[in-house]
Amino acid sequence: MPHDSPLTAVDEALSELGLPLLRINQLAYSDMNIKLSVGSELRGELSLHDFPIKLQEISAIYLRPHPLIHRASIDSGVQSLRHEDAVEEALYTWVALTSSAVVNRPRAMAANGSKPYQLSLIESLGFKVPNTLVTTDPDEAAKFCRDQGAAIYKSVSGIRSKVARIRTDKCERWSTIASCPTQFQQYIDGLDCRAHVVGTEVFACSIRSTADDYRYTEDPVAVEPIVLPVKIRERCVQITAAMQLHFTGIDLRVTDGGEWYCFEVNPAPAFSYYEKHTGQRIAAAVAHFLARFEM
Amino acid sequence: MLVVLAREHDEEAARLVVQWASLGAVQLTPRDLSRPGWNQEHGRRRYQTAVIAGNRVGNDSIGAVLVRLAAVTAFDLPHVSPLDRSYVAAEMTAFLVFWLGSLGTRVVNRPIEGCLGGPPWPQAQWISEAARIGLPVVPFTRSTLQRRGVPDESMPTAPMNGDTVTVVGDKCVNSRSAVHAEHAKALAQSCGVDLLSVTFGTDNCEKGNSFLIAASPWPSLSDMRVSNELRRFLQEVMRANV
Repeated sequence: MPHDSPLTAVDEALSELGLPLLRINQLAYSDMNIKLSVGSELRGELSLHDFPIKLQEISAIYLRPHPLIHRASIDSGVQSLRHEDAVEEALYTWVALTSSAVVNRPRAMAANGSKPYQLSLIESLGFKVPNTLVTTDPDEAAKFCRDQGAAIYKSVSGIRSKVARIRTDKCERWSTIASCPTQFQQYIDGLDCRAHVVGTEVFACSIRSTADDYRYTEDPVAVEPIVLPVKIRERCVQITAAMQLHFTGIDLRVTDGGEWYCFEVNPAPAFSYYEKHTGQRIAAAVAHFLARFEM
Repeated sequence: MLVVLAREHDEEAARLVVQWASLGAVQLTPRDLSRPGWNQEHGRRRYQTAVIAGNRVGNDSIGAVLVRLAAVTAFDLPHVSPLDRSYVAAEMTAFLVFWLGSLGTRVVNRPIEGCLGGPPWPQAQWISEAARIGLPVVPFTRSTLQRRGVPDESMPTAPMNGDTVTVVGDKCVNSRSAVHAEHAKALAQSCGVDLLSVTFGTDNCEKGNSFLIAASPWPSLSDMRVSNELRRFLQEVMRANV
């Protein structure tokens, strides 16, 4: 959609490379038609304002989808709404099946929809992860938090995903835990870091903030480029590839004792905030990665 | 214990729980996820507990889980405040992916790509996967022009006589053809599912060529032959996980 900062940044970087671009705007589905034929080959044609484009000629795709907001209104009729749904479904089918490079394929991104599930994968791929409990038991939640010394809670799915420290003065709200599985995690004291991985390139930075979650604070946040230790850098590249992703934003924290923890691998990283603060050319790296597949 | 994960008013699931009572079958509904007693600690095997049919049980007491729910939705949560239902549904679905994932091979079908009971693929993707492993398919064609009521003469269609078989583990039920059975099992294996219905068609030409035209990880279990084979398979799963 327009006004998506990461998409705009990659679009500009691709334009600088002089490559032919097709921009598919989710708000413009009513102006599009798609024909797909799926069998031993995938063939298709997209027409935008009646201008046809063969899908087989698209070499690489950068995906930044948002929940579909129908441009057609109820007044336009049910057929228009169904048309927009049909276009979206056809596009997702094409993206799932095409042999073109996709950054990133929806099926590879799905693991991020369950944070504790993804954490299991992260640990199996070699990173330390914080102790984590998902529970509907207020007593067990309290015991876990006491055992950890310090703890945070965060959503399981990633929706309403603000991280918050456990505060004992809020314990009267813990009875609400019984109504829905709630995720508690060992609080790891240390320096926040973020690594953006594009193929085998890694752009890392540190983030200094007093907030529980630096993404949702108005307090000052200091973001600076850093160089990761070789082993951590390699592990970030490996974990990205193992998850069948081409581009990730990996949330890390390093303790005073030099232990590195990984909290999450974001498959659709909103990188422009970090690029703006560090000057790291992440959008250009994504553009160059996509350009490699140009026929 | 055999757990059937399904919506509260799923009559087919309720019928299976009654039929499979001797296996210790019980139904787990979204409502159970709003009861105290769930504890799933990452990495720690002991003291993992669930709440099934209102009762707290250890994960170790679960021999098998039959999943008949793709995701928890807001409609499953009338007991939750309307403003929070979509959020709670998403949280519960994400939690079930984690919990079912921890149960490993006890789960039929296992979560894939965020869907609780097998791949959430549209028909085109099933056709593509079948073609990828070398099965003869009818090309899936779709034009959004058709949705606008505009006929698209370029889209081929092929009249077919259908034969639907159901894969349960390493067996095939209701197959009229050994070739169909072999192909259906191959597709199930390639997708990592234990339960799959596959529909084949035969064209009208003299040779009667057979093609795969559709597949689904949500076969109807109303056919006694299918539910009996599934019961046998789940008993094997439970024995293997003692």
